Amino acid sequence: MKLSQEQHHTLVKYLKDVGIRNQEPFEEFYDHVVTAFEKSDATDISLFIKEAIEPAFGGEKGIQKILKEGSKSVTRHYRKVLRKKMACYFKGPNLLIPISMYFALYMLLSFAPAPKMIFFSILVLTCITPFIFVVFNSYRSYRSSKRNKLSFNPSLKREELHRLTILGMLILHLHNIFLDDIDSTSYVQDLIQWLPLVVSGLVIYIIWAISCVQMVKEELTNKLIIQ
Amino acid sequence: MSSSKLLKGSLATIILKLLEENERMYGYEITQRVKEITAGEFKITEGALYPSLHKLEAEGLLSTETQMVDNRVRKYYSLTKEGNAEAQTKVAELEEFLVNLHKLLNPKLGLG
Repeated sequence: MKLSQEQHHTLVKYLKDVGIRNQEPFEEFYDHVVTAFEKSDATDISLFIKEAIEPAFGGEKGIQKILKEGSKSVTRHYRKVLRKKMACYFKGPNLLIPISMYFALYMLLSFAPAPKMIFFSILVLTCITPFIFVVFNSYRSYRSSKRNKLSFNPSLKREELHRLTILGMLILHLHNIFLDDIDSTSYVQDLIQWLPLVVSGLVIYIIWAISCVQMVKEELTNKLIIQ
Repeated sequence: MSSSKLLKGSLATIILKLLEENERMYGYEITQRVKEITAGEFKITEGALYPSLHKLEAEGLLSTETQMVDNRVRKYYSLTKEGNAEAQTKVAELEEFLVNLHKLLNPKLGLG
């Protein structure tokens, strides 16, 4: 039996009441319940949820458990993907990228007239790029959910990537605090003393940002087939 | 012991095997296929199926794609290259386990 508009609202309300707020699990569970309902002889969706769906999913607690496990899996997946992507830059011919980056930055920070400014600009650029990607994707998702009259939270994928970029923004923030506390001359002197370490950190940070952007681009591209 | 408890440890293998035989499947379809093959003897609950699917996806053994069906989004799972290899290994492991279990339950067969 096809779902009526009223039954659709009942189901949407049920899914939201049990705490499904993210787009991906919402769409997956919605399709599951609707398919099961359409293939059954049931006519009352509320009764069907109570008698068939709740026992199968383990009730509200069961659904919460699925969501929690799903969220953990997504987190683990993204950290693993990010580690793999970063590791790629330190293997084989790709190793030339961080090495040349290191020498370019070393020269730039050693001989440029305003190393503080260069350092700051690099950090801003590397922090902001992944952040822009996430904001853009979140906005696209928000518009799409609004168009479908379903106010989803950002998907689990987006939430996790958002957390990763926030980490970058926090690093930038710490750097700002650090810059405010010392005067320019002593900063340059410190920078020269600590240059190999600073440049190494900067290279790792840039590679982290590049990997993050690559991941956002690859993982958030929805593979949607229209029938 | 109920069959569901015995089934739990083999759930990932069952999912991988089904996806090896069918190019892509969605959650509800997997539950129904298991029910159909075993004539209703095995019932995979959604509470066990979805965490397993999400875990296999996170491990890179399954990939997903979505398709619009009757105005709603349907999530299909399919095996990745690694998933395909893992399916074969897991099925072989389970078959070997079942042979040994059979020998244990029927010691005469094992000696013969």
